[in-house]
Amino acid sequence: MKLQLWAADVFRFAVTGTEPHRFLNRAAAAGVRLRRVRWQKDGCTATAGGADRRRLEQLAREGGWTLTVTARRGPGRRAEALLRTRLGLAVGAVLFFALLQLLGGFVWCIDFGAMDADLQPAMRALLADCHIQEGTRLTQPLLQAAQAQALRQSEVFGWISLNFTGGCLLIESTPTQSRTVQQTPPPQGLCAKADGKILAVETQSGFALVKVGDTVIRGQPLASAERLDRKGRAVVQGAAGRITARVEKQYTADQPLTAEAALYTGRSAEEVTLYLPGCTRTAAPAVPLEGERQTAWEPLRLGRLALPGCLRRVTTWEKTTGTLTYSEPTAAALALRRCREQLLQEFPDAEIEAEQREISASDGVARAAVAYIFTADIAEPQ
Amino acid sequence: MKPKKPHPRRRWQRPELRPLAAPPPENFYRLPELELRGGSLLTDGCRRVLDFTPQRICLDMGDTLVTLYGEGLQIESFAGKRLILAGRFTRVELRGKWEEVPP
Repeated sequence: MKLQLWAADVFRFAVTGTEPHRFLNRAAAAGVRLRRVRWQKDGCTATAGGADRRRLEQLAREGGWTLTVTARRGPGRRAEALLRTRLGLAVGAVLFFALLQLLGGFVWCIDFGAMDADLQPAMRALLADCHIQEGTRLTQPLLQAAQAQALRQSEVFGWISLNFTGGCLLIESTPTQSRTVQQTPPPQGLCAKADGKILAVETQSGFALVKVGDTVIRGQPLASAERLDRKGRAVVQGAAGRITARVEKQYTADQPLTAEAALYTGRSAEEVTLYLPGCTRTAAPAVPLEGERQTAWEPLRLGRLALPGCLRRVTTWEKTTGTLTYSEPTAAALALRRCREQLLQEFPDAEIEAEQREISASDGVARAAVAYIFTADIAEPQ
Repeated sequence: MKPKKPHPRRRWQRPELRPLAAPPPENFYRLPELELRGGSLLTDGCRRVLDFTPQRICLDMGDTLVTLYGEGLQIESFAGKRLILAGRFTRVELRGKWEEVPP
């Protein structure tokens, strides 16, 4: 069977027979566009598109006319010759489109879009937990499972969408924005949790019992939740707000000069896993180690071209328990830091105005005593 | 001095508005529509070509048969009811499809 490619061609033909104008009418009614129709003694000639050739031949056959192609223009004839002599081109084209269709289902690259660079490793790890990485054949259930898993991380993503098209997994997300709803304060007053001098009274509810400039002691009521009205009836309103005072307080902390701690030995081992479409290859380390593990996913790239493959590197940093010996200045600095931690744990909003340090070392222990003068909110529920 | 002859005043006539607002004659839109521009003639209402020679082309345009006479007449494009003719047109003859042909 002779291969014929007429679709992109234009051809000129002659129609012979009786009443050739009837052939023109039938062709026009059939939707064929005839151009440059010329009268001839035994019929007429015209030009039409190659896609309409079979229809015109059928019309001519049905009406008893003879249709003869006299000229042909376009790429069809050359393409026919090319395909006849070089069949590999046709096979290659078919193979190309088949592979394009087949490989379009694999993840070739993951586009994180405008996601923060800090979040990208976490997102990649999440996808890896759902068995999605470069080289995976992605299905709709897999994609939906990954999206549901990502949405469950509501503290990270406000909204996330995974779109897969043409081998590219596109991740669109917006960071979460949380807004705290203030609860109604319980019907109780506020009292001081440290001695100090009142600098500001910012009560949101309740009835303040102190004013700026007052000196208060620990446990003294600062705001009450109840007040009597003119008729002597109690009006209850839970106290809430900030009462800022200047406080002077001392903290002490000890730091031994020697301590047991988990220490890095300096040895590490790397396990490399190569993920390719349909297969996985793992290169295990010669000596497996125990310790802190760090996982990194690296997509395979050839220049800017992403390949359907991904490398997972799991680096294990060996740790062992050992005795850590601090120098005296280091131990003193750690003790000072613990003092600061104690202060901030008790008064998270403390602003230090002044501090007085006393550092001593005896019996293998560094001791720090720090007297802080700071301003902070000293109100606490009674 | 001879007195100037008064200029005769024309009587103002109210324009006839009714014909302007009146609908077109009956079957106006069924009449054949031909657009002749230079050596080309275009129509969107050709049902069939009844005759085709370089000197004469006869078209079926609904209730009317249009016969075009000239020299070197040819069909430049024909698709559906859209027909473009080219040539040197000398005469156009319109005749009702159901009229009897004069002897």
